Amino acid sequence: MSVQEWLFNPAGMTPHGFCLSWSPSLIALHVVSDAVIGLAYFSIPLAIAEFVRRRPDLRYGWVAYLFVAFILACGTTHFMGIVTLWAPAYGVEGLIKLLTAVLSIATAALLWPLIPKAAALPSAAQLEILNQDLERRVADRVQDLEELNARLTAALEEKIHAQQAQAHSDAHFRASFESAAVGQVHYDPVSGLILRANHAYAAMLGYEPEELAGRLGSDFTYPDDRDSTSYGEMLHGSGASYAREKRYLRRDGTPVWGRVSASLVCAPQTDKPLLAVAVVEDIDEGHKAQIALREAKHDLEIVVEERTAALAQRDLLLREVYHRVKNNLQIVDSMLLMQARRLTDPDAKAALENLRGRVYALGLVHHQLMGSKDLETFDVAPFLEELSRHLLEGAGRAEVGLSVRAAPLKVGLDFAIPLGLLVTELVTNSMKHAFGGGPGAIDVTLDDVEAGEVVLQVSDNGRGYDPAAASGGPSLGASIVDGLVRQLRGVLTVSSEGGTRSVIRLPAPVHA
Amino acid sequence: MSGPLEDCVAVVDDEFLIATGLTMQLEDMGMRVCGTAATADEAVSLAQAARPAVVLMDVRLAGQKDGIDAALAIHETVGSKVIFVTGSREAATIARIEQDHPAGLLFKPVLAWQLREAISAALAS
Repeated sequence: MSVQEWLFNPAGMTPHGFCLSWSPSLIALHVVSDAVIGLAYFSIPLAIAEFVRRRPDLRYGWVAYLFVAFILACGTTHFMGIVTLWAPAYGVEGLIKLLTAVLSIATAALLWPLIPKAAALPSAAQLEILNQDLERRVADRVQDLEELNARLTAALEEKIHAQQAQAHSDAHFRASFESAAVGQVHYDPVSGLILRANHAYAAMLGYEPEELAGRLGSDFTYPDDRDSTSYGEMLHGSGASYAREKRYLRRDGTPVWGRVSASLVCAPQTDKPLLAVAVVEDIDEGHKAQIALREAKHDLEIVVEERTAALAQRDLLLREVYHRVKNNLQIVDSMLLMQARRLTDPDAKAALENLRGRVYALGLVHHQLMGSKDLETFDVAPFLEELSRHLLEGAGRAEVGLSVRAAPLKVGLDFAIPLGLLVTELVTNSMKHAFGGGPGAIDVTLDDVEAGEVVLQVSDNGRGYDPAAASGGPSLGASIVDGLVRQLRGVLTVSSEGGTRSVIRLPAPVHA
Repeated sequence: MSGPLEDCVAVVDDEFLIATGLTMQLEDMGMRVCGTAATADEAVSLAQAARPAVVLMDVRLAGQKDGIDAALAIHETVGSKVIFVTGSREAATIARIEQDHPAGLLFKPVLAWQLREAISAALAS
């Protein structure tokens, strides 16, 4: 028997349908069932294969391929079952079953040892948890990184900003130093050399700023004012700064007054002086003006002193003059008295007594002047009171009452002498003529009326007397009264009703 | 100060005419004038010799000393009442007079009634 015969028709056997007596229903049942199983057994491994192909990372993938082979083999045996219904290819069928058996036993054998390994593989849920954890850690890390990045960005911006600000402030500082209206100088604190000076300082001294750099600062102080005490004290810590006014030396050798304020810039840790900074203000004009003012004031003080001395001298001289005038009037009075004692004629004696009264009035004016503060003017009221009292006492007429009322009025020599003589004449007249030796009253008033006018009134309550109507022409007294009223540019009115009333209107005295 | 004072007046003034005028006025009032002096020393000598009850004393006198010096000496050695007669009214002079026990103070020109009143007041005190 050939292989072909063994494969397809061994020993002349009948097909399997024969065993079923070719019963159509049985045949159909077997064919349909085997066909469906075979199709299913072909479909399943194809699906598994496709799955494994899509998941190349699947561990133990070869087991799946074993399953694929094993199920395909099983499927094929079912198709062979259909074939053997009509063809007695039991040799092929047996071989296919053998292949299937090998594959299934191999699969079964290999599957058991694989179980612990497969079981050790993380499950999907575990993977999910792991995955979530991982995602969280990743998210945390991302956040950390973002924060770090933000910080770095901010730091970078800050640094850029600081650099810009630094550049800005340097520019500002340079500009303010260069263009300041007051002088500014930086010195090396140890050597005293000028490091830099601005335009205002250089201009004050007649230089350009670059000419000053590197030169000794003290060279520009006026020689007489070079006093390094304040600077030394500042440098050695006894003063943080100092300010003084001193003269600087201009290029042309002339001095210029400046006010310097100096301070030290020291290192923050070591306190070692790094820089001496001076601000110098040009006060030349102000200083010169001040000196001129001082000199002017001094001159003025001398003048005032001289004037004061001159005034004191003048006062002394005036007092001396008044003193001598009074002494001389006393001499005149003595001579009149001596003369009167020699006379026998009562009229002549009376005339001399009248003269003595007029002399007294002159003396009294000088007495008032001597007592006044300015030696030029005095209050008229006490003067008139004392004068009138003297006239009454001198006449020895106790029975005649006299009242004096004067408004306060400052008068000088030029006004007081004629006024005093007027009162003397008028009061003497009243006493002589009004009362005939009997009692009576005399009123003297001086009123300061408005419009710069004063009014002198002398009135009595006697029998009336008109000096102009006296026999033998006007008396000496009347002539004196008329003349003095004219001298004072006044107006005299006399009335004789109920006594004599003389009213003299006078322009008020004017004092310089 | 020894013994009683005489009822008379001494007149001290370096101006002859003033001394004479005052003397006449005193005599007209019925008073006795025991002498006149022109300097402070003369005034003291006169007062010590005549012992007047009242001295009329001018402040400014010829010589070194003035009437105030003389008045002080007279006040201490004789005790006469001193009435000053002055042409001055300077505050300094008046202040010195006030310290020197004045019995009165008259300003020139002096009139008879003023003199009378001053002497009456001095003698009454």
